[in-house]
Amino acid sequence: MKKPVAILFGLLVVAAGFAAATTWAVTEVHDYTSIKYGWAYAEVGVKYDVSNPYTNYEITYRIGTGGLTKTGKDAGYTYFHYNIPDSNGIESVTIVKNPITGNLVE
Amino acid sequence: MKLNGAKFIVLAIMLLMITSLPFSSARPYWVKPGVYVEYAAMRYDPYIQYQLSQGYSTEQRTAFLVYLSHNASYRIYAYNDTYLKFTILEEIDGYLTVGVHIDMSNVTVKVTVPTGENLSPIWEQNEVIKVETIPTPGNSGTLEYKVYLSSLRIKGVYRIRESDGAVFSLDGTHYGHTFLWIDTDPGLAPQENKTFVVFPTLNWTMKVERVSVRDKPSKTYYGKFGPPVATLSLLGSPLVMEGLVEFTTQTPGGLRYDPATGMVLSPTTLSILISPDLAAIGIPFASFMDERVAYEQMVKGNPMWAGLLPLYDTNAEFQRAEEVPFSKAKTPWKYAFWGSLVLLGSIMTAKGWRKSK
Repeated sequence: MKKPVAILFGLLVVAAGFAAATTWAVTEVHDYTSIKYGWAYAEVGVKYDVSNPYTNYEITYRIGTGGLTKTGKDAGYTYFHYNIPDSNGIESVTIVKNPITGNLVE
Repeated sequence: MKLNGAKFIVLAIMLLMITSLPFSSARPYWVKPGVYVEYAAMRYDPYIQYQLSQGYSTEQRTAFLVYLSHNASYRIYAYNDTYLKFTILEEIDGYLTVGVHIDMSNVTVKVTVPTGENLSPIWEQNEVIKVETIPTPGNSGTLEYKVYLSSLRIKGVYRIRESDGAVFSLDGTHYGHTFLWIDTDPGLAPQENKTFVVFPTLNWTMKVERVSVRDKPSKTYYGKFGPPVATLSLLGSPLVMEGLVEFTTQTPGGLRYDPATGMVLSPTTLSILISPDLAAIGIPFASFMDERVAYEQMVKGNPMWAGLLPLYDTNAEFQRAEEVPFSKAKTPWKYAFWGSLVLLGSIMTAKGWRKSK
């Protein structure tokens, strides 16, 4: 049991080939974590230089979402979600709360 | 207007009641200069081992802070014991000056600096283990530093207005009601929909959703409190501090307190902490996870603990409040009380004597 957290930091983009001039390619990287009561999803869009993917890239978008699993909904829990964006990634965090006790469940 | 006997008696009793009431204040009696209150989020190996056994390889942190200082935004990640200590330094003209120390160990700090500008350290040089620069996207015009520290102390000072618990930074910005205590006076207790946290530059507020009371005790490192114990639930619109923390749902807050003394037993029941007391020293967002509480509450299902940043220590004398030395013989109110009784008795006797004539 922990907070559902999906993290994308330090993106790993694999070179697609050699090129004399800069050749740009796009991809997306994502992470999904689902625990008993909640889930979290993070996705980052990347445009990268196929010859220098580790040093020459741009992040085109960052998305993070979260929610309750069916078990979480059936239990009557509530959830909150936030993102911590980073220069080269994003952390997506879901908080599952028991509204009766006011306590964190996951 | 003439006072007949019955009216006079009622008036005399009311006056006695009013003059014997203590003067009410939003500041609990245990809050005074020299008092400190300390909270802790501790590392707990069985929790970490449990996480590893479940296949989670990410490092478990006890604290995450967004710290705005030196015109930069520092993201602070602590992986070992974290302590927050609030000390009431002095009382001047109805305001309390509060000093804050946040002590963390095994810390990573990330900060982004515009290219060409110098890094402003918030740490002592002898705490640095290593400094890395993280490659950032090509055209961002910034350089990100990742600094590994053995320990880090964040310090700050702010003020609390005694009459209503309002928190102010030293430049006078108002951030809402303190999280150090909750008013026990029925006239000042948190009411539903009352604004509790304010971020004026973002035009953002968090309001009281409800106060719920449970007839069960709560555990802290300092000791057990209650029953009963109370939970203050807060709710605000999505807090968006662009590039730092971005809520996609409503923003929650929850703190647990002892309704007998107003002492906050844990300023967060939900791990996240958006509090005026921290915002006033440059920390608008924080998250704490005491791993012992997390283990007991989320692995073992035991809801005994007060919250994820439980009270660790205090020198407040709230448990022996009724035993404050009080010299009955020296107080003028004693003489006023007995004097008024004698006066009342004499009047009644005189009236009774007149009637009997």
